[in-house]
Amino acid sequence: MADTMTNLADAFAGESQANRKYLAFAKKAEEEGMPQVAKRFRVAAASETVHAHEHLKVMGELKDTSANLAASIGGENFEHTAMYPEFMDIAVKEDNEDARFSFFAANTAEKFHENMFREAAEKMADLQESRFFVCQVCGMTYEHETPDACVVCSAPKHRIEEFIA
Amino acid sequence: MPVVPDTLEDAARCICGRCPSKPEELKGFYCARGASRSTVLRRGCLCNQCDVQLDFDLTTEYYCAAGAP
Repeated sequence: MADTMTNLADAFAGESQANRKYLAFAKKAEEEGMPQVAKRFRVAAASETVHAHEHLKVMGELKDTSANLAASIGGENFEHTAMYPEFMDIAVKEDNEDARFSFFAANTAEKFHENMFREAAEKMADLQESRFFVCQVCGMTYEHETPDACVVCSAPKHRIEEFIA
Repeated sequence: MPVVPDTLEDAARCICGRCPSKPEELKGFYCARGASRSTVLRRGCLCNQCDVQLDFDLTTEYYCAAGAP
């Protein structure tokens, strides 16, 4: 039988995944003309977020912002230097091009995320507001301005959402 | 026929994302990255309007179906 810390970690992972799955399911339900079903998925997703946050807090993984940024930098760095490169290699060996490209898209954005967090960690409370853009097709992230098409997936400019952050 | 390099700079000029024939998938920039593995429904092709096509002297269409030159 697993101990409680392991169970909390598993529960956090499960609730986090459920949140993202339900939001994806909601989007799909809307595309299929069932907005009311989509709303139910969003209600459940909101609830799962609360569960995930509580599990994270109890695990002691919700620390001060400096520590949270350090953990985020480490996580993003691991993803684009080790995890996704290995995943891409395996996808190539298995001839799964959709998976390889999905990993490639995420990998390209993670590099940007690491740098974004590094700037935040250096400046902390002195961090200035900037314009960011997130491709709604592949997740690629940009600062200041967008190219005419997403550099990863070639989505047109109108599919890239602006964030002031 | 020159090979189109798969660079982020050239990908930013790609207009596959606006194309009515583009399959529902993340991948685009087919003249550099190769053909889609999805079924391509030929509803028109924008390749001849693309700056990448001009710069690399490409002359054909539907790289999403035919693959990279």
